Amino acid sequence: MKDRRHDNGHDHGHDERYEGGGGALEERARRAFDDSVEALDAATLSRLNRARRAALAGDRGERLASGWRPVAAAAAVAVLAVALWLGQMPDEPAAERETVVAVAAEDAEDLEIVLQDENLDMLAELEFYDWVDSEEAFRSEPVGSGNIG
Amino acid sequence: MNRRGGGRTDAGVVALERRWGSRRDAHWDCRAERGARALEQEQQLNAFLAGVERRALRIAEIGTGDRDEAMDLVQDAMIRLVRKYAGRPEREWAPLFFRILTNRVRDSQRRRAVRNRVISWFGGDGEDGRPDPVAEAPDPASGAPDEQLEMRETMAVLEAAIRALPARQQEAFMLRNFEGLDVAATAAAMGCSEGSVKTHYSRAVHALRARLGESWQ
Repeated sequence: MKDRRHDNGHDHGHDERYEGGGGALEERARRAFDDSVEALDAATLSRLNRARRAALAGDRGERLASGWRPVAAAAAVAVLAVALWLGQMPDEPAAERETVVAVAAEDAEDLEIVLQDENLDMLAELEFYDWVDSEEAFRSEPVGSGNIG
Repeated sequence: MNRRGGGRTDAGVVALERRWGSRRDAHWDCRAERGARALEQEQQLNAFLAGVERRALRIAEIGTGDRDEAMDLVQDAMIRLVRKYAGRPEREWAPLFFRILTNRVRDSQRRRAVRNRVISWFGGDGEDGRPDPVAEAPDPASGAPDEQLEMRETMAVLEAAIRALPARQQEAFMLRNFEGLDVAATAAAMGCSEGSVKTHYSRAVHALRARLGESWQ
C-alpha cells in the first residue's frame, strides 16, 4: 500500500518533529508504531477495506438522493405560486381577474408543453445549479473554520 | 394533450426548443464533465483513505484502548470526510480527516471516563470485562513468535505511557510522530495554534522519556 505520509501536510523529514529533543525515543516509538501497523491481521484489514468502500458508496447514494432535492424544490415553488394566485383571486376587480386568468391560461399552456417534453431536462438544470452552489460553498469555507467532526 | 390548436402549440414548442436547446446542450456537457470529475475525485479519496486508514485505526485504538470502537470511529471519520469535505483540495484531507478522528476519540475518552466513574461509584472495577482470548492470540500471519512477542510488549508499554498523557499531548504526539503530519497540519487537525502544537508535543516527549526510562533514550 502506498505510504502517503510524504504528501502535503506531512513531514518531509524527521528533523522538524523533534521539538522535544528526544530523538531516539521518538524514532523508537515511531518504529514500534509502524511495526504494529504492519502487523494488523487480515480480518482487520478487510474490515477497514469494507469501511472505506461503504463510506465512498454512501457518498454516491447521497449524491443520487440530493438529485431529487431540486425536483422537490421546483414542486414546492409551483404549489406556492398556485396557492398565492388562488389567494389573490377574491380581492381582484373583475377586469384584472380576467387578465390574470388569461395570463395564467397561457402560462398553463406553456407549462403543459414543457411538461410534455422538457420536464426532466429542466429539472436536471436546477440540479446542476444546486451543485454549483454547493461547490462554491465548500470552496469559500476555510479549513480551520466551523465545527469539524 | 394538445387541445388548443396545432399552430399555436407548434410555435410554442419551437420557441421553447430555441430557448432551452443551447442551455440544455451546455448542461449535458457539464453533466458529463461533472461525472468524470466525480469519478476522479472518488479514486483520489479511495487512495487517500487507503493510505491513512491503518495508521488511523492504530491511533484511534491507542486513544480509546478498544479496537472495535476504534474501527467505528475510523469509519465514522471516513464517512464524514467523504460527505462533507470531498470537494476540498486534496492537501486539506489529511488535517480534516484527523481532526474529525481526534474529535471522535476525545468524545469517546470523555464517555469512557464518565462510564468508569459511574461504574466505580457502584463498586465495579471500571473496565468493560475480561480480555478477549481470540484478540489476544498471536497472529500467525506476521513474524517469528519471539519477534512478535517483543514487538507487542514494546508497543504495549508505549501505548500505556501514551494513554497516561493528557489528551492534547496524546494527539500532538501521535499526529506528529506516528502519522507524520507537519506542525501546520497538526495544528489544523487539533484546532489550535502551531505554537500550542509544539508545546504539547514537547511536553509529551519529556513525559514519555520520564515514564519509559533509560531503555527508550
